[in-house]
Amino acid sequence: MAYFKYLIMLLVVLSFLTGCGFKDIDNRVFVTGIGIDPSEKDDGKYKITLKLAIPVSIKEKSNTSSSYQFLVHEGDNIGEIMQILETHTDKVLELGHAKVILINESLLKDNLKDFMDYLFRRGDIQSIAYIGAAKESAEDILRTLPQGESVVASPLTKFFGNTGNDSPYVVSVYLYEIRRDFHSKGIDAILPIVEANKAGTQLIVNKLIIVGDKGNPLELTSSYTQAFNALRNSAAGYTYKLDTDGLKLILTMTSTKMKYTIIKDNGQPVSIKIDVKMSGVIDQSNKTLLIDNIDEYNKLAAKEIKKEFKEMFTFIQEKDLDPFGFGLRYRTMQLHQKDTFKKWNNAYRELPFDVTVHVNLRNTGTID
Amino acid sequence: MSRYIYYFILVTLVTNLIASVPRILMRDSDDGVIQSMILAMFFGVSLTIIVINLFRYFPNMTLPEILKKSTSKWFYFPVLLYFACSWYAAGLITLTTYVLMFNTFLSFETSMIFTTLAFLLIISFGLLIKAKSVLYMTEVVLIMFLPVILFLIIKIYTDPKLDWDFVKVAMTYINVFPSYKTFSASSYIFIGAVNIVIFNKYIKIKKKAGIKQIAIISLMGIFTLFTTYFIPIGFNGFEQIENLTFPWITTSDSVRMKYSIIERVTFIFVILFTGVAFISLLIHWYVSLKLFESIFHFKKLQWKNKNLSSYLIILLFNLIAVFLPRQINEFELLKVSKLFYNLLPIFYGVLIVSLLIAKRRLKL
Repeated sequence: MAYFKYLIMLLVVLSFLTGCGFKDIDNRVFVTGIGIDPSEKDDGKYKITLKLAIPVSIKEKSNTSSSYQFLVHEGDNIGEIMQILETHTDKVLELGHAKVILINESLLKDNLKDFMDYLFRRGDIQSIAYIGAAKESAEDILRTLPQGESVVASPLTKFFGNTGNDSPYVVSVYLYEIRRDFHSKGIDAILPIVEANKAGTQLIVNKLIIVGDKGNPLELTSSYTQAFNALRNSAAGYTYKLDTDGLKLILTMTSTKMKYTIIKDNGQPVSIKIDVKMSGVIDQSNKTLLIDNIDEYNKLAAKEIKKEFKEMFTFIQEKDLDPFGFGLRYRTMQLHQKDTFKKWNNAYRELPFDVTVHVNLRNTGTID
Repeated sequence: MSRYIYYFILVTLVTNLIASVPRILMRDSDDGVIQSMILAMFFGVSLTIIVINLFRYFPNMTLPEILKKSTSKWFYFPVLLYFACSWYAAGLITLTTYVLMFNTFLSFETSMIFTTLAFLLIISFGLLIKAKSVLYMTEVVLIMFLPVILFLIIKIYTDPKLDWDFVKVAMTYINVFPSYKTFSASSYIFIGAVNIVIFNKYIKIKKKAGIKQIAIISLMGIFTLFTTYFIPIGFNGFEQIENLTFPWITTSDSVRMKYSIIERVTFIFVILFTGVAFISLLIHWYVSLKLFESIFHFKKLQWKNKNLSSYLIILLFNLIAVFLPRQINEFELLKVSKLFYNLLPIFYGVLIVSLLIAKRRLKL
């Protein structure tokens, strides 16, 4: 009788081993990248490209293109297209490993809300997927296969995050981050721009684009992107070319810290005070450097960098964009009232920047 | 104060950290949540201390024993029935919330029934064990899971992408008057200690709970309330926060552990919290079962020297629990949870009044 009891218990437990309706790995196909483009035909708004990883062994790999499959379909909205794409493969589309989402630059102006709703609503798409703006065509960029690419991995994932590439030109943005910044008052969303070279053999990421609630998105140049990344994300490696009085120096900043506050007068914002502390090394010089003069170099660098930063801040401000979140900071500075943000919106475009830069050069490399 | 009481409080705090409490708070994020949380802190902690100190007068007695000894049937029957149903409902809400969460984020293909059954099977075995074993099990699970949970919470706190400016924006709403909904939801996280109504028999309370205990419970409460409300805002922004169905799962999905075996924190996070929720569920239903047993004892259900009443009650528990998650959708669940939390002051009122009556009758 005692055995009988245990037998029943065992049977009950065994009934759970059927696999919970969970699909095994051979029934799934992994999506490594999602690309969204405007439709090329008339019948629809979007074109979606899915990059599927097909497992192959490294030895058999003769050319890289064989380890991917691409699914492309056009339609009116993303959910619909995805459902059709599911019929283009014999397995279940597994989106949990999609680490890169590329959106065509031309779609950013009006349609960002649309995608974000779908991408975020689906619980299986990671909210830590990297998101980027594709220049020209997201499909072409997904189809680009650089030589050094490892099997069944999207090269873009190594671009973003700091595991692989940690260049100060590359800004990494997560899906949840862009959703947060886009919807919040007082800060504007940014996306890194991903482009392919003309031959279609190499990917390039060194610019960013700012997307506001209204108006056209603003593209920043590479050098502004670098400055932005150093200031906003404290990215290491900001380089600056100093060229004054016959002295040509290349400086690399190992650390950058920005502090900012909004100066108020009678409840009205009157100026934005920005305090930047940088420390770094001298990489290259056209003259012999004197260690006694390092203070002088510090001052020279601070003066020039300050000018550069100020130009960038005003350049962004003129377009009424705020990727740093100055408006958000202003909102935190007083208790909630209904018109706080309106006040800021009216004032922001006219606010002067009061930038101070402090540079501390640590060494001059192996030679003086 | 015995360490088991702290465990009860901790289990409830941890379970509700990510379940429906944060959602209710965030739905009203521009409607005086902060003041509600501050009030709830005082309310929850003081009632916890009062209940614990009242039980000190009845050493080694459960609530049914106390009431049966001191009051007549017309009084204790409805009171115990009310408590039994409340505890069952508390467990049911936890179960349904976690089953829905499990199916939205971890296992999409699994049917709802199967997930529920997996929970229920183990809970049903758990309900049949001795009270002492339940206490030990709570301790073991907490000791195993809490350090990892703390590690993940620290990981989330120290993430560079957590924008404290959003948290500060949320704090600027401190000047808005509190609302009852958010007050009752945030008080609910302090409910843990009331499980003492049954477990008092096995826990020895030597000293009166004083300043030290109040300080410890308050600190735990402040940390939990702060974390549960402000951290998701730091990750997801203030404007859109009311739209998230499970703000905490989305938040845990915002953190990447780049060198870990599992890169997405969500999976570890949900599984750990499910483990603690399981203990919370077990404790609630254990108390509920004991309360039901004290008022419904069917003498006819005798089989080989064994009374089958408790088996019958467990069967009923399971039937309702299998039926409910299928019928209810997320919005209804939220509504039911809100209603349940709103009744919380009545719950505390009935408990304290009946204890005071018993105390006077027994001339303690």
